[in-house]
Order: sequence, then C-alpha cells, then structure tokens
Amino acid sequence: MSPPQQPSSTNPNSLKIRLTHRFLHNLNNLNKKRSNLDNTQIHQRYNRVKLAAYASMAHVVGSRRAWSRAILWKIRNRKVSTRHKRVDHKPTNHHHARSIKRRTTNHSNPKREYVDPNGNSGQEVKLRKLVPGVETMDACGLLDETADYIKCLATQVEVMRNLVDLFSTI
Amino acid sequence: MDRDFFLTMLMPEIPEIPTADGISRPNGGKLDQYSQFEYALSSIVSSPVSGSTVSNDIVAVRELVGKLGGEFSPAAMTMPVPYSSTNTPLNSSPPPNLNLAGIRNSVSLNPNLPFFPANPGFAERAAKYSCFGSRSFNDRIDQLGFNSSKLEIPIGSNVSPVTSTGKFPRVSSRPDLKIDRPPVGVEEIRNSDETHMKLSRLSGSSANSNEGSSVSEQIPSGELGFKNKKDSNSRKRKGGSSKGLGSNTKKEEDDIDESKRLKKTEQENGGKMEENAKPPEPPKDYIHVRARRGQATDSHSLAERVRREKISERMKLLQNLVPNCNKVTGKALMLDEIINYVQSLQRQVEFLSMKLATLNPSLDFDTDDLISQNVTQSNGNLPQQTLTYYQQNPQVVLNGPTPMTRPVHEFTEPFPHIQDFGQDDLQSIVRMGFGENLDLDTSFFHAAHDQPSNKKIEL
Repeated sequence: MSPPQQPSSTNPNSLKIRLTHRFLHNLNNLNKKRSNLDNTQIHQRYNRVKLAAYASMAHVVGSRRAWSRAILWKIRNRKVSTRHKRVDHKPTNHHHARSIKRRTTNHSNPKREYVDPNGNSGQEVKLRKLVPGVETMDACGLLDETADYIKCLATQVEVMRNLVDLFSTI
Repeated sequence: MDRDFFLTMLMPEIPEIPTADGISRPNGGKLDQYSQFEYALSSIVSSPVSGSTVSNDIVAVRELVGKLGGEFSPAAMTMPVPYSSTNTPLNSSPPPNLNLAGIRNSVSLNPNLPFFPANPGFAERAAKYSCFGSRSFNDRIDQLGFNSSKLEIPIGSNVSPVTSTGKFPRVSSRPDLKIDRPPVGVEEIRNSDETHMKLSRLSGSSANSNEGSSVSEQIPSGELGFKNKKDSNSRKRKGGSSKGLGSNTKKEEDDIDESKRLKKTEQENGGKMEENAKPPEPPKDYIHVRARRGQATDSHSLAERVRREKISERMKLLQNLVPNCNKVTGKALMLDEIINYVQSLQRQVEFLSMKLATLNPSLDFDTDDLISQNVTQSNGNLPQQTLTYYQQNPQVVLNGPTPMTRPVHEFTEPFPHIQDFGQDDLQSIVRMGFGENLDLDTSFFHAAHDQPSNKKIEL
C-alpha cells in the first residue's frame, strides 16, 4: 500500500501540523486547568488526554464532517453537563461519552450475520457505533465518513506517538 | 477541468461547424471544412509525412469526427476517402482522389450516417479516443502520446498499443478487425459513439426503448469537451432539449439503431465505460446511467446499480486507507477489516493518551519546540508502526471493555507505592516499562494486552 505518510485534505503537511498544534494546545489547557500531580488521578488525566485528543481531531476538521460535528457536539454537551454537575464533583462524568459506546455492544449476536430491520448488516451497525455521527446516514455516506475518520485517526495516532517518543527521551 | 484541457488540446480552433449538412452534398464544398479540421488536429496528431499531409490529416480529422459521433458535418466526412479497402497501413500514401464508390458501398447500409472509412486503424484510434472519456486525464494524456507516436503502426501490431494499457476493454476486439470488414469498423465506431449519443438521448426515442430506460449517468467523456462547446449542459438537463444538437439528434438516433443492428461483438464491457468513471466536473442536476446490455432495465434496478457502484467505489477508497487489505475482496470481509482497523486505531489513541498522561504531570508543553520536533520526526516510521501493529492483530475484535481498562486499573494500584519517586525516577520507570519497546510497538501491544501486570510488577 502506498504509505500515506502525510494524509491531509489539502497540504501534505497541513493535517498533521494542525493536529499537532491543536493537540498541544489542548494539552496545555489541560495542564493549566487542573494540575493533578496526584498519581491516583492518573485515570482522570488519561481520560482528559483522550478527550483532548478527540477534541483536537474534531476541531481541526471543523464542521465539514459528520463525525467531527458529532464529537464537538458531544464535548459541548459534556462540558455543559459537567458544569451543571460541578457541585457534585462526580468523576464518573468523564467516562460518559466513551463508556456508552462500550456498553451498547451487541452481546446477543456476536458472530452471526445479523441484519437490522432496516436491512443493515451487523457490520454496518458496528461501524456506525464506532464512527461518531453516522447513525442516520446511508451506506454511501457512511463509507465516506469512515474513510475520513480513519484518515484523521491515523494522523492523530501518529502525532501522539511522536509526542510520546519525544517525552520519553527527554 | 479535464474536459477543458482536452478541449483546448484537441481543438484549439474549432470553427462553428454546421450541423445540419446532409450527406448528399457534393464533395467540392467540403474542402474548406476539412482545412479547418486539419488545423485543429495538427496539434495533436503528428501525421506521418509519408502520406500526403492532407489525407493524413483528413484521417485524423475523421477519427475525431467519428468520435464525436457526427457532431460535425457528416458531409465533411464523406469527402475524404483516402483509404480504400485495400490500404492497411496508416502511413501508406492514400490516393488524393476520393474513392466515392467505396464510400457508397459502405454507406449503403446507413444512408443517414456519417461515413467512417473502412480503416481499422482509424477505427482503433476512434475507439481509443472514445475511451478517453471514461478514463482519467492522465490516461488520456498517455493515450494521446501513444497515438501520436504510433500512428504509423500497421494493423498487425495494433494489439500492442491497444492492450498495453490494459484499460480499454472495448478495444480488445481490435485485432479482429480486418480491412475487408467495414461494418465491423463501423460497428466499433458505433460503440465509441454510444457514449456521447447517450447524452443526447431523448426520453421518447426508440433507441432508448431498445437499449433500456434512460436513467442517465454523467458521462465524463472527452467528447464532452467538445459537446460543451455546443451547449452540452443543456443536453444533459432533464428537459432533454437538445438545443445544441437539433438536427443531429435524428441522425444520432439512426446511429443508435444502426449500432444495435450491427452490434454483434460488443461486449458488455462496452457499456461499463460510462459507469466506471466518477465525474469530477461540476455537479450536474442528476446522474445519467445507461442500462448495460443484457441487464435489467427498470429504473429501480438501475438506481440500485448506481448506488452499488458508488458504494463499491467508496470501498476501493477505503481499501487504500486500510492497510493490508489488498487481497481482501468482497464487501463483508472489507467491512470487517475496516471495523478492526478503526477499533485498533481507537485503542491506540487510548493507549497513547494513557502514556501521555503518565508522562504528562510535570512536563510543560513548549508548543513551538514540540511542533518542530514533531513534524521533523521520521514520518515514515509511524505509519509503518501502525501498520505493523495492525497486521499482527488483524482479527482482534473487541466485544467488551477494551484492554486499556486493565492497565488503567493496574496503573492505579502500584502507584501509591511509588509516590516517593521523583520525577526522574518516574520517567525512568515509565521508560523501563514502555521505553524499551517503543520501537516495537507490536510486541508491546502484545505485552500490554496479555501481561500488563508483569510490566508493573517488575518495577
């Protein structure tokens, strides 16, 4: 496969650079917001870093894609909900968006070819769960969004790996 | 964009060509039109010097005209017949005198059709040109270069330029063309005409009823480049008003009838041409699809076919994105691969964010430095790392909580023990746990998934 070393929409480097910028920006905000130096809060930090990663991905793409819009919408809702619930200081809010995806996996038909009432195969359903924001799209759009999502995810993984390499050698 | 370029390339000075000329016009008045064609084509076709330049240009002209399907004056076609049935090589010097008898024999079948000479080379080139429409622009350029350099090739070696690209299914019958089979030549030309004839199809024409319902698809043929000059957009509109064609429609419908009569060797691939291309031009109102030979013709199945083609095209794009799926064919397997890949990517994001979270606490992000270092990182390694990871775990499908949750919990357990560690020690720990495997993410992922506890315990 021809290696898409710099996958991006316009420039060869634009997507990666923008992702890097955005991700670091988010991480910096993370650091400044709550300086959790407690090691017991690693899990919390992990979730925030993950959220920052997805947020940066979605922000870079903007509103052009359904999945990015869905992620941004989710983040906005989470912020609103956490703001309302800040009095309670429930740490479980951080699990909210991602964990829902895990809970709704199809346990009854794990391997069998499962066809929705709509005629969607089980695989399409799974794909719809994986890619945010494609719940109501037709198969064509679903594949489109999936392609874009894969591209951005791969770039994000690359950026994060770079960062980890950098930090681990400092 | 492709169309415009093709247009400028091929017809730099297209004159306003009269469209309503009948074939019955005397030959004398056509020379001026031919000179116009010659000018236009001289830029592309490097006509061989051996023959008389006029006739060679005329041949090239007729190729184009044949490709355009009678767009231009059909009378102009009848005039030059440099190739009688006895001439095979293109570079043979054709007699400047027009062989009207030969014309009339061939035309007897199709009194209303433009005359295409019984020249297999011409037919081949016509088909080649016609095939440009459905191919990418690069292919077009390649074929243009091909044609300009291979005009002199006699029929015997026609196979090589034709089949070398491997992208012209409808030209595969080229080698069968003999000199003394003008109907076949005409037939192949009919095939090439079909693509642009479809554009002008009126809904009620008999041709449509024979070929199937006209759920039309956008046909980004090179001929469109010419058609656009003639207000082709209007032709493609739902109204079907062929302003630009006017008088040609009747002739083209006859062409269509004739093509059906002669169409014996047309393969089904011939109909694929207009379906394979994905039009890059500005979006039209709707999509034209032509029913292929031997397939269902009701609008539902046609629409269904369009939808399927779109989906298969997207799947091909996805195949390029997802690594290690070149051998996978079929939608179901491909979807499996895609799902696995997306899941693995998401898991990687989680894993890397966990790494960053552990590295993060005391590190300050200097954005400029980091960005510069990030960008200059070896770009080639990372996708390969991702690829290798994925290749080693192609069938891992998660039905429950991701394995990341396990290391998370194990992270929290031993950490109270190491709170005394300073920052450097923490980093060294992390490096011990992760660093040694940074280059071998595959093995690390295995370790992370299978034995997360070991990594922590050996601190």
